[in-house]
Amino acid sequence: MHLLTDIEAGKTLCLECEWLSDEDERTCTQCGARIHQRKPFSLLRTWSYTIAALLFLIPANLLPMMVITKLGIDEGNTILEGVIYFVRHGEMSIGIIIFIASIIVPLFKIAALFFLLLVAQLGITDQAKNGVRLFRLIERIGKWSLLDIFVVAIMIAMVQFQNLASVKAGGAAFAFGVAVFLTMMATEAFDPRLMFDKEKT
Amino acid sequence: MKREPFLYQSACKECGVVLSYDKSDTYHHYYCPRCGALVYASGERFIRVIIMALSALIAFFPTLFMPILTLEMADQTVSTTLLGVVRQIFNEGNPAIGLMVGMTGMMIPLLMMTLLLLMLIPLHFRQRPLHLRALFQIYSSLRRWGMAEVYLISIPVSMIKLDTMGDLSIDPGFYLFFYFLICFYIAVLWFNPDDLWHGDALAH
Ligand SMILES: [Zn+2]
Ligand SMILES: [Zn+2]
Repeated sequence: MHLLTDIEAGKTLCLECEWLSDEDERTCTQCGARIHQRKPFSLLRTWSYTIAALLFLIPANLLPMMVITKLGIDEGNTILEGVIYFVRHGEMSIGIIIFIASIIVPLFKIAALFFLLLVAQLGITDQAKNGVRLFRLIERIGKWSLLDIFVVAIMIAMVQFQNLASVKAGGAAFAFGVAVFLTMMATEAFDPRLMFDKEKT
Repeated sequence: MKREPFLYQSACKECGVVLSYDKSDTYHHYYCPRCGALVYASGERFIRVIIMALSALIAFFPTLFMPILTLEMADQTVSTTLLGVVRQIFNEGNPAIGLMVGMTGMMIPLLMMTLLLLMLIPLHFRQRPLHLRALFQIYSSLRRWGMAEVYLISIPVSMIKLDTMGDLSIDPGFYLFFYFLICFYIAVLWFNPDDLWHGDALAH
C-alpha cells in the first residue's frame, strides 16, 4: 500500500500547529507561522552545526571543567577526571551517570547526526525507519548532557570559603556548553522527512 | 467529555505522509502508519491545564529565593538559592554560563507557564486571547530549550561531590522546585496546541 506524502499532495505542513496548508502559501493559514515544505537548507545547516559541535568537544574534554582551590592550591578537573573522582570515592553510580551524560551522550549524538545526514544525503531509504527512531532518541536525550554544567554552577555557588576553598569554572565549561547547544541546533535543523523523500513509489 | 467528531487532515512531521484522524477522540493516541511517530494525542480541558500552570507558577517564585542547599565547613556556612547560583557565576566572571543556567533552568520554564496562562485563561472564558498566534509561536519555540529537570537532578549530583567538603543539608527550596517541576510537566503534557484552534469543547 502506498501512502500519499505531503509533496505528492501539494501541501505544506505547519511544524508549529500541524495544520496542512496549500504548498503555495508562505505562512500557515491557521497559526500564522512561516512554513516550508521541508526545513530550508536543512542538510547544510545540520552538517555545519554537527562539525562545529565536534570541534568544540575537543577543548571541552582537554581543558579543566572546574578549578578547585583548596588552601591556596589550584586543582583542575577535566570531565574525565571528574568521573574518576566519583569512582575513586565509591560513588560508582554517579560516576557512571556523569560519564554517560558528559562523554557518551555528546559523542553518540554526533555519531547519530552523521548517520542521519548520510541517510538523507545519499538517499539510503531502507535505513529511514531506523534513522527516524534514532532522531527521536537524540531529540529526547540531548539536554541531559548539560548536567555537568549545572553541577559546576552549583559547585561554584556553594564552595566559597574565602581562603579555605573555592571553585571556579574552567575553560571546558564554556566549550562544552557551546558543543551541547550546537548538537541541539543540529537536531533542530535536521528534517527527518528528507530521509524518506527519495523512497521509490 | 463529549465532543463532536471532527476529521482533521494533517501530515506526519517525521516522514511526510498525509494523514487524517478524528480530533474529537479523547481516548486514543494516533501513530503514523509509516514511521511510527506520535501524530495526535488529545489534550486535557483548559481549566485543568490552567490549574497546573498556576500551581507551577505559585511554587516557582518562592523557590527562586529559598535556599536549596547549605554547606558548613569549619566555622563558615554557605547556602544558596536557585537565583543565587546564577548570580554567583555572573560575579565570578562567567556570564555565558550564568546566562545558560539561568535561561534554560529557570527563565524558559517560567515563561512557558506564563504563556500557557495568557493563552488559556481567555479561551476558558470563550474569549479570543490577544496576539494568540504570537504567544503560541514563542511558546513552541521555547519548548525545546527548557531544562529545569536537568537543573533539579544536578542538585543531588553536586551534593555527592560536595560531601567530602563539609556538612551538607538539603533545604526546602529543593522540594519546592521538585513540586514546581511536577506541575510544569503535567501542564505541558496536558496542553495540546491543537486545542487553541479547535478546542471550543475544552472550554469549561
Ligand atoms: Zn500553523
Ligand atoms: Zn510518519
